Amino acid sequence: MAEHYNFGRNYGCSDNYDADRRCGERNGDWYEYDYCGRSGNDCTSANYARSCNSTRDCDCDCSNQSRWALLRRIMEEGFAVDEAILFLDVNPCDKQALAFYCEHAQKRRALLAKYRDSYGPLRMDDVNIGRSNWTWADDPMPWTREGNIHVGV
Amino acid sequence: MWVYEKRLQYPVRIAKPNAKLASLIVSQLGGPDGELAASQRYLSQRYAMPDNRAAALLTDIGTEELAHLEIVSAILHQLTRDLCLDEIKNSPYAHYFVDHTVGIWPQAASGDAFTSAYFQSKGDPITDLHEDMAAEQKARTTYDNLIRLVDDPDVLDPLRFLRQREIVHYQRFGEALQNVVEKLDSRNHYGINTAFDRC
Repeated sequence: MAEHYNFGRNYGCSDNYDADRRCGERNGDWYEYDYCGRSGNDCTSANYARSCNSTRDCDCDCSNQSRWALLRRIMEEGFAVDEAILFLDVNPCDKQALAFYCEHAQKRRALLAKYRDSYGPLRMDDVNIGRSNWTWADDPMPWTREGNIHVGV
Repeated sequence: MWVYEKRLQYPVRIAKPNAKLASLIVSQLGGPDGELAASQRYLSQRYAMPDNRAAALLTDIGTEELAHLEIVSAILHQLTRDLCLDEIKNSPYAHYFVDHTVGIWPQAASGDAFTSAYFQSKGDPITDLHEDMAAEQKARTTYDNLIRLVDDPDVLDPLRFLRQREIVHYQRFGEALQNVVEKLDSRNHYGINTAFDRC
């Protein structure tokens, strides 16, 4: 078999690239900008959860605006990561792509943590952080109109 | 192993129900070049890939296709959830309604049920990667045709996103094929199946 095909797991990048070190670097408070179009944070998760009798009621209030803006950022960073991993699967030595992946994977993780802390879980291991009840099924499901953002948000 | 993330890969927010559009777009759920066939094609084929990069790519694109399955399902759900009976009676969606009400079920626009005969898993990396490139182009053409038939901007927006992804996937599969071919015995690309001929 070996004479027909090279099974090597190392794909022979021409020089070393310290992905761990680069991925570990922090970029400061880049994600702490104003999602709501105003300063301060008057739209806490507690307000969101208690002021709305139904998800439709929340469509126009500030807490939802900031929630959707944050979800939109998660989608943007998630998409950057989706795109990067496909490219890197077949171009593993591309340093620029690797740096792109590291940057956006880090931003995505930070945004997911921010969303979890403010609005609730998007992933199964983020459920009930700081809550006393089961919150996984609290919000509109992602395939519903109420569970989605307008792209123009 | 998969982990669900409770969001769509790309948002779907459709204001107006439209039974006729749903009866067309359902083809990208369970039709011959739809997202269910795409996901099962790639996730089935990856086991026969001798090249880890190709196996990783099939895993990751197969996973993205599952997310596209969810996007198409969300489009169908939002197009049909608030339909009135009169809107259903006077549309081709009535045939679907008989068996599925407004539930989501994978079928082609023709009404044919989803079948694994829509895709192949040949157990030969070169054969499978060629199929994958063709599959992405067929799905792109299907989205092109849907985009020609749709006039609601709320529906066009996610369809355009999905169409773009077909083109990117095609590109990546082309690179994976090139990687596999480069590592083969250059004297005879087709003389062996690297997934089977081991001695």
